[in-house]
Amino acid sequence: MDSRLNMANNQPNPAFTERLLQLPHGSEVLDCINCGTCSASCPTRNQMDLGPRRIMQMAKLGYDTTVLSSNTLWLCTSCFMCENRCPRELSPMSVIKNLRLMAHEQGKDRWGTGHKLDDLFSLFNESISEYGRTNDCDLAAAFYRRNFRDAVGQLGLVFALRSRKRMKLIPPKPTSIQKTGDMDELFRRMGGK
Amino acid sequence: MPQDLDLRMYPGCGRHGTSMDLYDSLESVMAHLGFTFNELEDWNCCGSTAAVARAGQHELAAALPIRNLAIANQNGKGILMPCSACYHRTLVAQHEYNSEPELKAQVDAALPAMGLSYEGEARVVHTLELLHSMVGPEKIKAAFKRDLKGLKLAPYYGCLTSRPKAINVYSAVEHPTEMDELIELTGATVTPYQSKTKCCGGSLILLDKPTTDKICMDLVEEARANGADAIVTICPMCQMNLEIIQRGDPNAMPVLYLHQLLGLAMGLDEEKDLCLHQSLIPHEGMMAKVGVHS
Repeated sequence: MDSRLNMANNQPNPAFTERLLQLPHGSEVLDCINCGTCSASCPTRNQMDLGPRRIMQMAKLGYDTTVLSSNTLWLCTSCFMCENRCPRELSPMSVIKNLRLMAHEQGKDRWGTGHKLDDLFSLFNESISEYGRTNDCDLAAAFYRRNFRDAVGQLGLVFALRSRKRMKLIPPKPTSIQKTGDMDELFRRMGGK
Repeated sequence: MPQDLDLRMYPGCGRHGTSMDLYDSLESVMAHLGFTFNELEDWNCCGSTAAVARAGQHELAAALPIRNLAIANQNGKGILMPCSACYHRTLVAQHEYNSEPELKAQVDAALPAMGLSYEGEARVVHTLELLHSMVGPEKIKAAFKRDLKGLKLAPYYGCLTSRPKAINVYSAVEHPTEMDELIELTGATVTPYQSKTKCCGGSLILLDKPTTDKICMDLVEEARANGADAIVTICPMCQMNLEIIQRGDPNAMPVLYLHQLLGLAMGLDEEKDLCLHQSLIPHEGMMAKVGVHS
């Protein structure tokens, strides 16, 4: 058994698989033939603990803590290569998106890259619900205010962009849409969950 | 009398932010060819982030772009989306709306409260399709004043413009050729590039910079190994990520937009019209190679 997988203490959990099967594309783990085309195609596979293929299989089998603690969930860029090439027309990318939700539901995105994605998404929702839009500099600045250590490494880039007039040091908020009531309507019905 | 090709321009989050150089230079090039575009009325965010952050946002991630499509329809226009993410999200949402009855019902229930309706159709165009299919190679070539023969360029399309298959309008999903053709029109040579539609990481640069650095370095290395002087691209995230990885490298190669390249062939001003001074990697070395000195 591959020691990297660290499954020794992870008993398969049927409830985990059941939850996954409730989500869109979740049942695709049952149709997966384990061919590995997705892992061979994934641009970030070499940085992942477990490639998309293993994630599909292990999620199906219910290895919840192994799957939800892998870095795989946060390295997917939604580039559609796996979905585009899968011979069974499945979407490992969509299964990973489901696992992100499940990690969020279980509070497993409170640190590291998972937490950063949660930050970004929260900030995005705030801006959209208020203005109907984002300004990318404003969003990035707000993100870096919450992730200060990452910000320090980016100061050179920020100044380079600023001197080329592609970024203001204090970015403006986006110009709001006129019909802000439309955003209230959409968020009331659909969320930002 | 400038035409608008029945399209409204969609600004997205970058228009007044980090990709203002894309939009400003595109407007100059298109104006030079006889086309100007008004902004899509009361446009909202395309919802790309909601579509990828985690599951559970399916309806919101569809309703946001469909609001834009409904507004465009109301005005009898299509939409020009120069950002690949906005373009991709909008076409995928349109496809989802037309193929998922439950989603359609939920979005349809929200539209009347916004004074909108939507029939499932609206024209959405990306810069590459605009240039290659709507304006066309003949009209573009007729505007050329320079021959860029001697320049070797890697054609980097990025991952979102031609995927998934269901929304692809180009010659192929993984190895399209439309940008190659337009590059060759200028007299420049297209270098082989296996990574034409390989992902640059996109917004992963915010979340995991070391991983993004690695994949972007591979993209630049392939271009370099095949003898490219520069990389030509059509996506603002790709353009930024491939520049960022090369910052501080004395051998860095420029990363420019396709329409900026065409503008160079047209003899447009590199700063005033094409905003090349706003790039992170200087382009003067590349231009000197074809005898153009600023």
